[in-house]
Amino acid sequence: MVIAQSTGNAAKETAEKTQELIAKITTGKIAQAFIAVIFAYILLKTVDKLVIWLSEQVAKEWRLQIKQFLPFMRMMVLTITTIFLMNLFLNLSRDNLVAVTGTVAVALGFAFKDYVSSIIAGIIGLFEAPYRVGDRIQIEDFYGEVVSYGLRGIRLKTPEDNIVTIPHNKIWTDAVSNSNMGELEAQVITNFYFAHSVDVDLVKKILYRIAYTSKYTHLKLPILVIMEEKRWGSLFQLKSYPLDARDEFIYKTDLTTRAKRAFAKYNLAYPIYFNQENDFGD
Amino acid sequence: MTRLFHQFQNLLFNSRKFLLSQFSTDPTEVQEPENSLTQLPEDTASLLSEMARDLPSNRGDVEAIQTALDEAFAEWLDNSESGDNSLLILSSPVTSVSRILTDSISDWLMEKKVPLRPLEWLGRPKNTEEIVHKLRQQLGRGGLGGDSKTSEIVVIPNLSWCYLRCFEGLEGIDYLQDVLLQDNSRFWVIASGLVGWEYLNYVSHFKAYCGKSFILPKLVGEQLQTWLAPIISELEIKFDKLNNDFGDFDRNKDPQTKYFDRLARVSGGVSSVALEIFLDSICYELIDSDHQSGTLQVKNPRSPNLSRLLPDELYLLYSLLLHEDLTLSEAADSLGDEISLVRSKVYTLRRKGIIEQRGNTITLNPIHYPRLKSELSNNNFIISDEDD
Repeated sequence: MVIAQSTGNAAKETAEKTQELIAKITTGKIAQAFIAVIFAYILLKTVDKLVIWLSEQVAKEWRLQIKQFLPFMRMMVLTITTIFLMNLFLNLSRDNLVAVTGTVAVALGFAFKDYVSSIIAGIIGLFEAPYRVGDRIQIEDFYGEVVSYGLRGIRLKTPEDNIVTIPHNKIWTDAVSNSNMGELEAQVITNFYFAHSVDVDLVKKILYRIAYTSKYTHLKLPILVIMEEKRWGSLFQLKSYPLDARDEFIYKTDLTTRAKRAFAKYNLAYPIYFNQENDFGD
Repeated sequence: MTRLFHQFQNLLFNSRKFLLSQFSTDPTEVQEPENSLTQLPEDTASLLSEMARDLPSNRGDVEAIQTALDEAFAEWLDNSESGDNSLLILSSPVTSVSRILTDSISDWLMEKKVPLRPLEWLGRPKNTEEIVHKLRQQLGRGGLGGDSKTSEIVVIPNLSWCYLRCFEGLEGIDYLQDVLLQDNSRFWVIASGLVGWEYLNYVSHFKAYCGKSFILPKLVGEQLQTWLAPIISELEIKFDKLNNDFGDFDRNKDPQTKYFDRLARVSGGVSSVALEIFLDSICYELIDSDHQSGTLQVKNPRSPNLSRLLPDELYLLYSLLLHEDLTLSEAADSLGDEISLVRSKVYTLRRKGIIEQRGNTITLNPIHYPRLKSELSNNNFIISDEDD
């Protein structure tokens, strides 16, 4: 009985405090908040542009390091703006904090559950770094380069030049496949398909040479040809790295085009049988 | 401590123009204003370039090659059955290594009295697929020279003519790998650019098949001064209007010595780069008011800024360093691009003064080599740092 009464008193007190705080919101404060939000927005856009511009001006080896600085800058601007706004409206004393956080927590808990989850995942992601700006990642069916790291989610630029927005809270439940983990280099695997009767040594020689003579190949990193026998024929995989991970698709095209020219010269046999129901991955 | 700090402050202040210019990418920016100096008159400029073209190979380079040849050849003679039977002469890719080697080897061969079999090419065969066939024809024992095992010296004046970075283009290197160690009665002298050499080591471990390698030493100021003396005396070039930006270390030296020491530093001791920077630093000072006569003066030697380069331009320039000289179709093969695409890039880079075109052949303007080298190295390209 006593506990119920004291809980009721506390709730009443909280409600009064909240009312009191809301009553203190003046037109001047709203104007200040408006200016602060506009300023933060401009600052965010400027920081975005500045960091991206700077990263494109420096040598490739520094590009990703500079880009990865962007989320921290954004987080700093947002945190400072949030603290400023809270201080403006809520007068951040200990009592006020307790009063407001209770109310806000309940509201956020129900209305913005996923949003808050994404923001928290975004903050944790800054330190765990499952992806960073400039990384080439796959989440669900989407593959591409992380071009922006926002408060709620990231933006991926796909090979088709689409921008896909993915919330950070995917890192709680989905697998994130990262090709380069902050490095400039990402391995490219190019598949080649032949009939069982193909001259394996010749194919391997051609593939190595094609990789070694491509202008895009990063020669300091390993180049490897692996082969696997399939029901429909022989699968060869050329594993190599481009000088710049951004060239991934054009690099793959270059390797395939020049390899096909060489295969034609030696008249190498492609698989004849191809069952539509079983793709080449079988 | 305070004195040291002040000295450091003065050093920074005095070299501010030089330090700041390192960050600029604007090729039109005047890094060190020389208001009193103007462009050279046309006839003087053409005389100057003619004299530069006719300069003999630098004695420093020639003597260094001859010494290395003597040592490697003596070692081979002493141990011709199992010892190294080749000498690799490596230089920067903008050095005309075939010319220096030819100048060095002609006198040296007279003394040795061993039959010579040079690769008598002035460039890469037009058809890349013919490289290996022509190499076999010229250097094969079964070819012109018969099957005999008599001792002979085989000279390849420029290894970059024996390959092209394309699918069929490395067959010449495969052939050389097969024959290099096959026959110890032959002594091979091969000259190559460092970038191409580094590339071949990555793609075919070429180094393993070769004996000693020798990198042309960096030239010092004194050697450059002696080499360029004929031009200076003939055109009466003056060194008395130089900026005093050389720092306190050179205080006791005369302006000309300071100039050449600085030239050696800026050019990285590479003769072709030094020559271009020297020519670039010569200006004309008008004497009388009617602008009829004047004297030739030098300004401080500097490596010009490299304008911002697009990735495709970097690929082309790397290809040029790899092969030293290329025709348009060779450049297209080496890049795996259409010739029209390459042509447009060549025009752009030529306008920027980064590459030069003589007839159908394009080369890198040596003056840009020091900065281009570091630009390429920063962008993951394989650039040998052995000449740093």
